[in-house]
Amino acid sequence: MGEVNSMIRKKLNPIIILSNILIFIVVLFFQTSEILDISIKTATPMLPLSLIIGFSFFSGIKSAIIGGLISGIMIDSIAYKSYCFNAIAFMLIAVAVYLAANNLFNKNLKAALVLALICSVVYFVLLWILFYSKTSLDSSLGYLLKYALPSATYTAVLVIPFYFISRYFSKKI
Amino acid sequence: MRFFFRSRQFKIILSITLTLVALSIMSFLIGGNLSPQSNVFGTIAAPFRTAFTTVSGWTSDFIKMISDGNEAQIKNAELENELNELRKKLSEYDEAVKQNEFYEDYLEIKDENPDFKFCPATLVARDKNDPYKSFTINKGSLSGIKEYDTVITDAGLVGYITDVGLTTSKVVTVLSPDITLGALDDRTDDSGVLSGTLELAEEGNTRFYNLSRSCNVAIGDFVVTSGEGIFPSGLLIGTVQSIGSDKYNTSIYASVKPFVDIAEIRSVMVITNFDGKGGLEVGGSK
Repeated sequence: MGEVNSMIRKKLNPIIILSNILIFIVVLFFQTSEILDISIKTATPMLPLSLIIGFSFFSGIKSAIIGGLISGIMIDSIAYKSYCFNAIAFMLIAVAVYLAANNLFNKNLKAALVLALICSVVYFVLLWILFYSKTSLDSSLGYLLKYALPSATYTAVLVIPFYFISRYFSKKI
Repeated sequence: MRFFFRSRQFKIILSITLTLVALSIMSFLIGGNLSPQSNVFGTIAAPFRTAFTTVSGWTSDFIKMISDGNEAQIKNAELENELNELRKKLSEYDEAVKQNEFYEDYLEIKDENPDFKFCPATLVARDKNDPYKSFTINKGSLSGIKEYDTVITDAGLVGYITDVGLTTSKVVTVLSPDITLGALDDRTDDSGVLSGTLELAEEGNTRFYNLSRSCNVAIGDFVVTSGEGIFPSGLLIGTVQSIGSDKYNTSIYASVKPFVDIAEIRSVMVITNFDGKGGLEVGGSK
C-alpha cells in the first residue's frame, strides 16, 4: 500500500523540494555549530535525526532514503568515531519510519512520537554499544544513563516541530 | 509490507547498507582517514561550515555581550568575594609569580622550539553528542596534516588528530579516555599517565594517574607533556585541581584542569612536525 501511495504521489512542487533541502541544510549546520545550543544539562538532541523521522513520516521512500543517507554522511564527516555508522543508521531509520507510518501506524502526532522515541533510543543505544561501551563499566553505564537515554528522549520530543512542518509540506503537494 | 522486501527499493537499500558496512570496516582497519563519502561531503561542506562558524562566532559574541551586561551586578558581588579570598592567598604570591614566569615562557613556545612546524586551523564543527568535546578543523591532508599530529592553542595542549580528510580533520581532546599520554608534574618531575574519564570530562577536567605513592604532586602544580609517545615534550596541559588515590590504594591520581577551555575553542595550531616526531608509537591511543 505504501509503495502504491508513493507511486501515485503527484508531481513534486520545486519550491517544496527546495524548502525541504534548505531545512535539512540549516538543521545540519545548527547541529554542528555552536550558534544554537539547545542542550538541557547532559541531554543533547540529534536534530537531524528528529528531522529525518518527521520527514520520512510523510515523504516517499526514495526521498526518505536520500535524505537519511545524505544527513548521515554529513554527520559522519564531523562525528568523532563514527566511520559510516550515521549514514547507515539514518538511512535505515528513515526507511523504517516510512514503512511503519505507511503500514503499521496512523499518520498522527502520537504515532510519530512513539516511532521517534523507538528510533532515537535504538540510535543512541547503538551509538553507545559501538563507540562508548568499551571504557570502564562506570564510564560506560554513565554514558548510557546520563547522556544516551536523556538525549534520545529529547531527540524524540523534537520531532514535533518537524512533524508539523513535514505535514504542512505534504498537504501542499 | 512483505512486498517491500521483494521490491527493487529494498535491494537498493541493502546494497547501500552493505557498501557502507564494507567502507566502515575498511576505514576501521586502515585508520586515520575519513571514509571516502565523508571525505567528499566534508570537503564540499567545509567552506560553508567555515563561513557559518564565523557568523555563529559573531552571533555568540553579540549574545554574550548582552548577557554579560545583565549579569554585571551579580558578577560584581561574586568578584568581591573572590577578591577577599585572593587577599587571603597573598602568601602564595611568590609561587604564583614563578608560575606566571613559566607561563610567559610558554607563550614564546614557537621561538623556543624552532623545530616545531605549525599549521593554523579553525574549528568548523563540533560533535555535540560527544561528551569529550571532539571537534573538526578546517585543515586536512592538503595542508600537510597527518593522523596523530599534536593540536595546541596558545594556552596549552588540546589533543591530537584522529581522522584526516582532504580539507578537514577530526580532533580528539585531552578530556577523552581515547587519549593516553605521558605527562610530568613540572615542579617535582613526577611522571604519570594522562587520560580522560567521563566523570571528569563533565567538569572539563582530565585525569593524571599512575603516580607513585611517594610522589610530591600538589594542588596547583602544572602538568606538562613528558615527550613520550606522539606529543613533543614540555607542552602545558593544565593545573592539578585535586588529588586522590585509586581504589586499591596502590597509586595516586590527580584531577587536572586543562589550561585550554575546550568548550570555547575557535582556532588551534596543529604541530605538523617537530624534532623526534615518530620516534615512538602511540601507546594506548586508538
